[in-house]
Amino acid sequence: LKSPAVAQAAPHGQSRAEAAAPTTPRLLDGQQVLLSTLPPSRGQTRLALAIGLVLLAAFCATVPFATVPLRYTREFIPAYATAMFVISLITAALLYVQFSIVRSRALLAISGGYLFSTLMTIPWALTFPDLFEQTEIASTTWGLLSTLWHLGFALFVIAYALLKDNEPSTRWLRRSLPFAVLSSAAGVVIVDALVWLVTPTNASMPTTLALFERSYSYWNGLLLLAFLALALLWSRRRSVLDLWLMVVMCGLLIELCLIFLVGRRYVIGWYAGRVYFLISSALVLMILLSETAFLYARLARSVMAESREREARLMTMDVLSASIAHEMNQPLASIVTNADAAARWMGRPAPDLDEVKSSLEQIRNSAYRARDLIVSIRAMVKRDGRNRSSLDLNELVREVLVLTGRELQRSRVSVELGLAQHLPPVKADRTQLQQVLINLITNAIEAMRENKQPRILRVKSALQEPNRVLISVADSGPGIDAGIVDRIFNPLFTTKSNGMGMGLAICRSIIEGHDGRLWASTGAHGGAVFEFTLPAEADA
Amino acid sequence: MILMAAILTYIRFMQAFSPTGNSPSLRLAAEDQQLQHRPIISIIDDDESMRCALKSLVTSLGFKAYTFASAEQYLDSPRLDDTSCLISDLQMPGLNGIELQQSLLAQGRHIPIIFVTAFPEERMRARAIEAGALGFLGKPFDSSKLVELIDKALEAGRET
Repeated sequence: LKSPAVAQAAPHGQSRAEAAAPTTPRLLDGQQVLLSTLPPSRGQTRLALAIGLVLLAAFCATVPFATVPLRYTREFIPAYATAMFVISLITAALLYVQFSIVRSRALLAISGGYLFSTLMTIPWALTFPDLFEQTEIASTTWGLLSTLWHLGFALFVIAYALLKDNEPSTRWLRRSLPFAVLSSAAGVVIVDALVWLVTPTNASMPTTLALFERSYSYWNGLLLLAFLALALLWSRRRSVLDLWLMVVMCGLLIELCLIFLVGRRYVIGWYAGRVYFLISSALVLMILLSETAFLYARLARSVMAESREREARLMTMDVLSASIAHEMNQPLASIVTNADAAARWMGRPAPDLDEVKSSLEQIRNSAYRARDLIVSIRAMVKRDGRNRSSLDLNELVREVLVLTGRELQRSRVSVELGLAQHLPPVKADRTQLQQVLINLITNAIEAMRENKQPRILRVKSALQEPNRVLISVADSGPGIDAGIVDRIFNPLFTTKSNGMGMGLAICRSIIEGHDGRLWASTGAHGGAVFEFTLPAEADA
Repeated sequence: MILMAAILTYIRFMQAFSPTGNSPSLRLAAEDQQLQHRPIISIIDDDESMRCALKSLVTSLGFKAYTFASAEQYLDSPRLDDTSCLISDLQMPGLNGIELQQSLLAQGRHIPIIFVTAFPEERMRARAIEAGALGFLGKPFDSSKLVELIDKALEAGRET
């Protein structure tokens, strides 16, 4: 499936210039504004890969000198812990915000992981043996906290990776705040419990645990777990967040490997491992922050464009009423003038009955035209949802094709139908949607009237991610001039000699009244394409 | 010679006393002549039904009517030279009525113009009248008003 961003930016292979100035700026949907759902761009993937490779290269370069002792720097761990505390806290906050928007269990897990990480840095820094008391037991406590921290974090990442594709279809949380508070409290309790468990004053701390901390199987298990988290992320990677979490896990793995390899403090490996993890965490936070800011800017721009458009449309309300007057006066004038003409033909010394008859016919046609106009205006003005029912758009399309069948046949237009199977129903006003489809199809027929090449009307339906139904009506006519494509929906605009000039404005107003969108573009084979989307019925 | 002159005199005498004439060829020739003298009214409207209605009305008044769907079409036609009165819509795709008026004036053609519009705006009326338009009617209009204006246009044409 094409990503919605790409599909919307350039529908049907429009030229770049046209794509850059789309008919209407569309409001970005949730898929495009959340780190947890937004697919990474190629540039981001490359950047992440580059950072991963640099980390790996740094790791390889460090390994030969890992055991070389460096100057004793007591302040290193407190400084490192402070930095990690701040980084983890901000990342956790960022992810909690994301969680509060989507309420996904996976996001709760990963933000919980960061919160846990934040909280763990406090006892971890405070129990650093060289800081307060240099005893064997203190050292063990510190080491255990260190590994528990990483172990816990890896477990949270695994939980995230496992949960992220198995979200329940319905929103499982009504409110996010209590959950955020609750999980924070749980984090504090868990960390407290762990600290209590490994504190030397606690007599129950098993010495075997201390011995175990140094054993190979313990380290192997920890490494394996971190690696498992990375592998799971890789196999289920989809979003920007997944991508950068993988970078974090690479940093974590490298830190673990280096610390495991050297097994001593104040050597190059011991320093370097921590620095690498710190750097990767800081980088990822920076990127997530800039990504969020960028998305925010995009969203803000699109919202502004949307509100400008709405304002413009409100301004056109008086234009619209003027246009209704204009459109109504046209058939009325024709009726009055024809009636006068008929009276004069009748009043001649030798009445010309043929002329009278033709005038009367004209009067009838104009009256019908006025009636059609009133029907359209009523359809446009009537916006209440009382007449809305569950509709199968495929069925409606077939119905309208039957209704317009005579006109299609007379104009020798062949119809190509591409209806998607299992289309979800939409909640809509049947008459209004019928009006839209009839209007689009009639427009298409008229556009192909002068055609030398085959006259083909293509009507398609499709299910658009995540839950919108798309209908497209394409013709093989001359297409829409780039210069007028943004004006065709304006109420007074018409290219037809006897056109109402309001058809498309009314169509758009109907579709938007149903929370849908209607836009026009040029098809892949030339010709005009009119497409609209409607939200699928929620509980279907 | 004398015989021929006598025959001609006889024919003229017959014509003078029976205008409908017994000879069909002579009657047709007479109507032809009359047709050539019928003033030409050109009608420009992008709305087909309005165009037909105006043509029918103008023809019923005894004028010769030509219709055009756009100002451009009219400007490209030979009717530019023999139009006695122009009835034009104001809002049209392409050149609008005012632009058409400007274009005609720029060519030095002072054809009497009657504007008919479905959306009469005071601003447009002022502009059109200021530029010398003969009339400005809002659709739908009473045809007697149009007839009045056409008569005025033809009178103006006769005077110049």
